[in-house]
Amino acid sequence: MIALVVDDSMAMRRIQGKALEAMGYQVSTAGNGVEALAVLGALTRCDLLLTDWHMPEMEGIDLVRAVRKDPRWASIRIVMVTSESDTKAIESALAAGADDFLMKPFTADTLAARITEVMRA
Amino acid sequence: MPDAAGLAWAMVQRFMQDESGVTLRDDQSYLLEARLGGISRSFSFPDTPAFVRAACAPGATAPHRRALIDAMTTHETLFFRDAPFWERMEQTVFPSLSATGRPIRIWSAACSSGQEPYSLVMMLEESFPELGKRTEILATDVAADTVDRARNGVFTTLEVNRGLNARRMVRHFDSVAGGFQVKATLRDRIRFSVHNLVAPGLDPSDCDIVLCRNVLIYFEDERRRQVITRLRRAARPDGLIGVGSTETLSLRSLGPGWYANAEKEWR
Ligand SMILES: C[S@@+](CC[C@H](N)C(=O)[O-])C[C@H]1O[C@@H](n2cnc3c(N)ncnc32)[C@H](O)[C@@H]1O
Repeated sequence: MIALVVDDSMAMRRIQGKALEAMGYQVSTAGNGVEALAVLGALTRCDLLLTDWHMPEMEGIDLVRAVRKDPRWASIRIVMVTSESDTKAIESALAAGADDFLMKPFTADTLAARITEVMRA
Repeated sequence: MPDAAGLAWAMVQRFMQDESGVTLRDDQSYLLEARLGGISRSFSFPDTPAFVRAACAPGATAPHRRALIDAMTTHETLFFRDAPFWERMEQTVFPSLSATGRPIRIWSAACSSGQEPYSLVMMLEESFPELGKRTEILATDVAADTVDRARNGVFTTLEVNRGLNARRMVRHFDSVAGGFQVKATLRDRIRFSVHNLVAPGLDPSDCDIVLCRNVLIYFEDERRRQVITRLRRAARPDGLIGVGSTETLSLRSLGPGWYANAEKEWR
């Protein structure tokens, strides 16, 4: 399984990357939405996208919309992982095409449980 | 000669055994400071043993006793704990209760901060709205402050993250100061109260489902047997008993954590 982690914080990329690797994923990373689209363009396969919301250049929600428009990524699962916690914001992320939305703070166990649920759905 | 802390721990063990049936072992004495240190200071006692002596004394005030019980019980819980248990609830238990057409009663007998009964109402609301309207849910726990929290229905981000996906969270919760609160329409469906499984008292009766999950593990064998008898009396003869995924009852198993009350020999 292949995952892409998008976050402007290197620490967050590392935490999430470690958790995904422990679950058996091969992990790529990107620092914002523009970079993420470039990485996706180079990948032949990607099963899971974890993305932050607030990032320079291209925000997470715009990345979600862009990926959802691309038929190549029709089956990718998307989880937003962010400190945003307003229920309206969460609703708009789900409407944009995110499969789930994980608010910070969370534990590694929670991240793993939510990813498992999203991949099974 | 035991020191003040050793004596205090013995008092706590005795108090919890008598008041809640919860057995605390000698080698858990580190819990004395870990769970009671802050509370002792907040009640302005000079040290933890002084608080323990006051709370365990025959004429102790309710706030001290409450605080001691609350701190020494383990409230670890999460929404939709043990996925297979809830899958069976959704695929088998609720559909068959729906088919009866009659009013239904469910008792969550050690509900902690409320994640278990709120999981029930969320599932009813999402998938069995008709059944939900005729289902009465009673949720009880021995720890009074925890029952207050449950009734209030406010959970931190860390708590809602555990077991609830975002779709469920935004559907059933409102953002409030300090976290997220279960919507009033769902909170109103649950009757919360303080209830002690090991003290004489009034139990619900004719329950279709009695949940007593992840609490029997804290009781010794004899106590556990007494509590199980009590749960079975509260359940209808054709009712179900639900326990934690690591617990077993000597009843007919219906799936992970699910048992049939069935036999009547205990009456
Ligand atoms: C680990 S929690 C389990 C919560 C929930 N049922 C679950 O499975 O997630 C155990 C709860 O049992 C409660 N408890 C302990 N002794 C009790 C007693 N004698 N009567 C009622 N509740 C009790 C504790 O206060 C605590 O909230």
